[in-house]
Amino acid sequence: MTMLLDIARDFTAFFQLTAFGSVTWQMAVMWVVCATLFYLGIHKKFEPLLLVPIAFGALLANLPTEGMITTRVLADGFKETGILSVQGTLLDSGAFRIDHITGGLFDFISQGIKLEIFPPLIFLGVGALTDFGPLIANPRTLMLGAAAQIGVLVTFLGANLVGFTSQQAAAVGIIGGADGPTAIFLSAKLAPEILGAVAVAAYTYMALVPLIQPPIMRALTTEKERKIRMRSLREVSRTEKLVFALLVTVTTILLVPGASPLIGMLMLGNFLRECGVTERLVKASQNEIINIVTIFLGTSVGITMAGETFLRPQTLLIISLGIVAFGFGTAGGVLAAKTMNLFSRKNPINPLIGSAGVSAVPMAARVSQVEGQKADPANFLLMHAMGPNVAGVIGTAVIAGYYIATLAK
Amino acid sequence: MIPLPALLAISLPEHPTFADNLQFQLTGLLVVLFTLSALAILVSLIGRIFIAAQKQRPPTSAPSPATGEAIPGPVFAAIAAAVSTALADQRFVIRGVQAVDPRQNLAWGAEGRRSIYASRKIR
Repeated sequence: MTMLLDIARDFTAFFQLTAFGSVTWQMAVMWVVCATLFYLGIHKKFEPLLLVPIAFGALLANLPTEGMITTRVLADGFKETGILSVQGTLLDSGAFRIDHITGGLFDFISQGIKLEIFPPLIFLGVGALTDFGPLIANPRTLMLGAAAQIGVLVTFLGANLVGFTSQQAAAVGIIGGADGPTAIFLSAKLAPEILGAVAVAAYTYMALVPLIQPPIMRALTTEKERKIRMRSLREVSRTEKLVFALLVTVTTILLVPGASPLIGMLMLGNFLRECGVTERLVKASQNEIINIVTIFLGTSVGITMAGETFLRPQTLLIISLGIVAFGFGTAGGVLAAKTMNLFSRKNPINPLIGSAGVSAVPMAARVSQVEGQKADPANFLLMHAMGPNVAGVIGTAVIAGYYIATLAK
Repeated sequence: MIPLPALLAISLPEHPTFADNLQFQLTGLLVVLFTLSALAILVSLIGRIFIAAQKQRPPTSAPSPATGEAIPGPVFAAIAAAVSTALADQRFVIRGVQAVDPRQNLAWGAEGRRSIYASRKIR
């Protein structure tokens, strides 16, 4: 009998060592959110390469883990994550010698977001994967990439009206740029407290581009406009592509220095691709680097999604505003193409390619192709749409640079 | 060179008035339009230089259309298999095979690129 009591006591003592007592209701709700994200990523294949690591990171954030991440609750109720504890010695020379740094695994890994390293590295890979040939062959499509940024600006206005600070409104608005790394880059810089919600909204809506864009495209165009066949694109030489990469780097950085990390790495990746003598580096950028960084970026974003921070009405607002941003961006691009046609009747643009200006490479371009073929099955718009598509990447980086230059504290 | 936003001396409080915010957004739109217009003009100018240089080069003779006889057997078999897959249930007879000048028809190249991009859902 005594032995049974001892076993019961030991068993109870064991349970006191477990983490069950640390589970909160917010964590339990977030498990449902994580399950939903897993469902969207795995079953529905919504941007799985990002959504699955984000969901897993969010699960880790909502378990009473040890040695994973250090958090502290700020005065406004938000949880700050990725806190490193540094011990060292102040030397006579005034220098500080670091003796010991303590922190959990993700306190270190998530520095890639805090220090704004991961998004530019993703851009390196994107640059190495992107062919700017269609844009160089038809440079006026750069204007479609600019016009699609209207979604970002309108959403910023709306977000500010419903109570977000200017910094938070910029992070919410940039969802309309449909460019995940830029959205994360800007959020980490201006409003890290809403980074998780912004990233989830951006990647979910990017995956939903084939559902969001077509009704808007059809509503704003006539059957005749959708049937417009565009002139074949000229061949672009390798030298011209190299000059383009240098030109974009120099011009954009001089005009909007805040966009330097993104544009610089995007064009470095593209320059490596086009120069033809750095095949190993191109392969590394296109595969190993981008894949490794994607895992770390996704999980680092997910681990910011602690229930106490994520389960707020603000998150629902961000997700609602995100779709507004996508809608206005799509409309902006289509209407800009129609406006350009007023001045270029001899060489018209099919307005369906305007929607590709929201970036979301290459999904938005494929939507233009599919919608174009519905109107005229023999019309191939894909390569024409790649022009505004990659212009949108540059446009979003520029508007992000503008916000950083004007709003960073 | 002074960066454009700094030149315009723009700033915005955390909770601006609608008018101030509208002005801020319109300036932002102007910055994007100006930057991308500048790029478009420069790329167009450089493109013209490259086109002019290309025209000055002596013309290279275009490859003569390949005939069925000139195509090696395994390649012809691969083309026949591709046609069979593309036409699914339809009956067909291949009467000839002709090389397509990529400058005239980019559709298949575009389809190839589309499938390459589709296999890399990175963003």
